Amino acid sequence: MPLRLNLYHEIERDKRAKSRDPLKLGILAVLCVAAGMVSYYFWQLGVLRGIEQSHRVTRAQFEDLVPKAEAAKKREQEFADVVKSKERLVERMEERFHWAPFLAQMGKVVEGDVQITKLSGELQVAKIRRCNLAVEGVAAGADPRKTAEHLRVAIRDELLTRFKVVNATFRTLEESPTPANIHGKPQGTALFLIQVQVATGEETPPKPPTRKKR
Amino acid sequence: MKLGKEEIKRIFLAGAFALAVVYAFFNGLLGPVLKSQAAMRKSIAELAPRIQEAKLVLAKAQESERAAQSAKDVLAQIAQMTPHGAPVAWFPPQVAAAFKTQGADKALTRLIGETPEKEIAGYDKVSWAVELPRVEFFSFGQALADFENSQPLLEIYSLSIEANREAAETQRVLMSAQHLIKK
Repeated sequence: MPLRLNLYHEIERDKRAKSRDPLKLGILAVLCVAAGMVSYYFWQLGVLRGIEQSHRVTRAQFEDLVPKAEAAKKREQEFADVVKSKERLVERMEERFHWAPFLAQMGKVVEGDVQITKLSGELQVAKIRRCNLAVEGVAAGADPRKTAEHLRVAIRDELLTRFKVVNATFRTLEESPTPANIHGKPQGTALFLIQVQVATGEETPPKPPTRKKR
Repeated sequence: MKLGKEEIKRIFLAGAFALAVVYAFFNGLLGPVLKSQAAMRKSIAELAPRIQEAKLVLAKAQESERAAQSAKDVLAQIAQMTPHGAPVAWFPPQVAAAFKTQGADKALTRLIGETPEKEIAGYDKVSWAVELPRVEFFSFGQALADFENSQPLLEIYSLSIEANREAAETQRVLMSAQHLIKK
């Protein structure tokens, strides 16, 4: 094995020592950290630009929409008024009281032994339309009171086919001294006045009072 | 390895300088950027619900506009039911014509009053009194049915049918009615 002599061992040691110089290593480390910090800074700047762009877009959208929304709010009241007017008008047209079918029903129940001398009605308009009707007339027959009662019941039953609430009561029922000639036979008569009340709907019952907790 | 006094001083100075640089970096450069980002994010977060609210208002208004347009069409159709001109000029002839078809030869119609309808904008309530001195009950009923169907804006508030004394087979009718008329 040949003998090798390293005459540069001191130079190489110095070289190695120089490459492991803590100052140099420190400077390198600081430079790396500085480069990292600068890159991080630029990366955050990029993020900021993105947020700025999105903020600009949002702000522009806001400035565009808000005046439109305020104007729309003002117009909405106007639209609501139009819709309300139409609803009230249609409701009024649909819920009005028709007298012709009412008269047809009255005509149906009057028999030959009854003569109606006056029929008058008045409409009360509230949440529910009520009609108060007075039917005046003369009933004839062997028992004219019974004939009048038969008419009252017939009126009530007939009107109940159309209205939910019907009241038919006698205001007056008096026998008359004047006889009536029906089919050639004289019959006793009675004067009557029947009060009829009908309602086009039913009132909702009031809510029961709530009990106070002790 | 032993450090000399001068070297320790230099290391200390270098450390202080590095700390100063780090402090300056975070406070002078990165700090304002992060602060600005946070402020903008906050501003966007604040604007987002207001934009959403505005969009909802606009959508609701659009829906209301569609409903109002359809309501306007209906109102226009209803308004067409009323002839132009003063009601007193066209309504009494309409009443006379309606009942004449069923044999009522005479119809007296008087204007009672005219008040604005509070619940329906643009409409007036016009009250009428109608007298038919001579009618026959069943044909009157038929004429009344036709009349009520032809006048959807009219409602009869009172009706009185009384036997005529001089001609028992005929009746005298008094009616009061209220008519909604477009101004």
